[in-house]
Parts: sequence; C-alpha cells; structure tokens
Amino acid sequence: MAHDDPRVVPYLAGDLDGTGAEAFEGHLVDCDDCWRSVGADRRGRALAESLRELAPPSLRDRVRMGVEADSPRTSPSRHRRGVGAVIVALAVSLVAAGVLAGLGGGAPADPMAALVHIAADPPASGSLVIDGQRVELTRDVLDGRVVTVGRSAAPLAMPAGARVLGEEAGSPWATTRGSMTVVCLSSPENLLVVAGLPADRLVSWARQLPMRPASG
Amino acid sequence: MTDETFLDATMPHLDAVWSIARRMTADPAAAEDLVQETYVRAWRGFAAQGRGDVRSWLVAICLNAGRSELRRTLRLPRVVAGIDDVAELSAGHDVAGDAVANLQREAVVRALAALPEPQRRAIVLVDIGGLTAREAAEVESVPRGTIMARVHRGRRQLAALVEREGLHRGP
Repeated sequence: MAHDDPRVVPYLAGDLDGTGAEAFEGHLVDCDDCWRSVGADRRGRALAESLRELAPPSLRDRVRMGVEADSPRTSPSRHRRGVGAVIVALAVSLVAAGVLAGLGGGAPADPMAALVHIAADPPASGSLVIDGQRVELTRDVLDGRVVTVGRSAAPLAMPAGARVLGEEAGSPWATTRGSMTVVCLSSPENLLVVAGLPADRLVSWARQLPMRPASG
Repeated sequence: MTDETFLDATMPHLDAVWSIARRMTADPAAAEDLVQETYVRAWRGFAAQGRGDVRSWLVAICLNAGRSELRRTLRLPRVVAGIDDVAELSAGHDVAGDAVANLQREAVVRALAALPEPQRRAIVLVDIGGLTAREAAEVESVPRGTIMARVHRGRRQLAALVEREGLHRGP
C-alpha cells in the first residue's frame, strides 16, 4: 500500500515553515510515493490552469450594459421583466452609443455603430429608428453566432464606407464595424442583418429567411 | 451605491468569473449568459455585500446562478467545449501543434468532468478561477484544509486521466 504522508498537502500549499519544508524535501528525495504524489499534483495543476481563459472583450461591454440597464438611474422598476426590460435595455444601448435623436441630443453620428452596439447583445425583440425608418429587430442564430435581423418598411440608405455586393440595381450592401458585419438587402424584403460573420454568408442566409414584412 | 462603484469593484474579476462559467456551461454563449446573470444578481445585492471579499462573493453567485446549467451540462455524455477553439484552427503558424493542443485541452475538459464533484469544484475554484484556498473554502463553506485536500486529490486524478489518454506533453 502506498505511503500517504500528511505533509504532502501542506507542503504543496506552502504551509510548512522553513524547517518543515526542508525536512520534507529531504524525505521527498528518498520516498517514491511522495515524489510521485507531488509530481502528479504539479502536472494536474498545470493541466487545470491551462483551462483558464480571458473573457471575450465584447463580454465586458455586455456586462456593463446589463448592469446599467438594471440600474435605478435608467430603470425606475428594477424588477420589471419582458418587453419593458427589453425597451429599457434598447434605450440604454442607444443612449450609450450617443445616437438616439431627441435623447442623445442631436442627429445620429453613426447609426450602423449603434446597430452593432445593440447586436453585441441583442434583445429578443425591439425596434429602433435609423434615418427615419422604423426597424423591427429580432435575433436568430447562424453558424453558432447570434444574428440580429432588422426589418423595415422601406430600404435603408447605404452609409458612407459601405460596399455594394453585386452589379445589379438593388444589390445588397455591406459595411463592417470592428468584427461585426452589417448587410442590407432590399429583396425579397428590406432586411438588415448583423453578425460576426462574412457578408456573403449573411446575404445567402438572409435570402432564405421566411418573409415577415415589418409593420408600420 | 452607484453602478460605477459596483463595476469598478467587480470588473477586475471578470476573467475569473468567465473561466469558471466556461466550465459550468456547455458552450461560450451559455457562459456569457451566465456571466451576465451573475453580474446583474451581484449588482442587485451589492449594497448588502458589505466589505467582504468581492471575488469569492462573485464566484459564489456564479455557482448558484449556474447550478441548473451545470446539472444539465453534466448530464451530457461529453462536455461540449473548445468548439470555438477548433474553429480558429485555420491559417495558424503551427496547425499541427495547435491541433494537438486542442486535443489536449479537450482531454483536460473531459477529465475534469469525470472527477467527483467536490474535487472538480475545488479545482475549478482554485486552479481555473484563481481563488485562494481560503476564498474557495469560504465559497464552499468548508475548512481550508478540506479544499486543499480536494484540490490535491483532484489534480492527481486529473493528471492520471489525461496521461491515460497519452496526450499530456508535460515534463
């Protein structure tokens, strides 16, 4: 039966004083069981520590927004749920992006940036106004990524810096903000699609979405 | 108490909470949901938290919030993790080396899931979450020596399980 020295755990935890640690290290040299036990502990620790991860950068913003949306400053009733909470979260997103005309105090600086800001943590449903167009938002999943889908009654104007994906009139356009891609289609319906995926992937996926014209 | 005070106190521990959440959930999206849930719950209880250790308090909230998710994950035949890492295997400098590292990572995740729950939790708290043995003892409401013993037994078993798969390239 293997020898099970009670000093192994305190030694590894650094709890033995100088004399105690020195005595145990002297024992380690001669004791195969303790040597193996200490070695296995160190290997196991290295393996476990290899699973440490840095949080994704977008999570920091998401957490911050979640807390701010729950703050009494922005939410009179912190326990409200459902649609109300979504509207509050959306409003906070827009204010945070500094783009909501009337609340942010001016015209939108970059509506696409605001959209991408929301798409980092999209609500189950909601709406926002871009260039005077009401855009109804829903969320979906594509290739394991969350996709924000916006539907509007009329096509949205192509922003500066966007590129057209095709040569025919009415071809989709795409623009990027950081790692996020925004594509806009006007056929078969007016769609905005936002996700951290390539533009052509988003367009081909969006073209297969069931028609659900935006209301209003 | 403002949300800025709360965020200043808690955001430095986001990586620790994230690392723990990743081991309690089946995929990164669920881990992100769990982290956000943890922070919102913590924010609601922040005023009553007093001057205790913020990191172990956050981790305890994460463990409670993730308990049902953890049960669901552990019922899966195999812990689904590292899929995002596999997807990143594209034009890296050392594709073969990355592939081996991924296999090892998956082996570690599987071995961790196979440990008895007290040992697994102790390792998740101390080695992955970076808590001290005293903080982990506070979270688990057990003596510090119990945590140290669980961590030691868990590490030995983890090393043995991974070495059995022949994937550990350590010394």
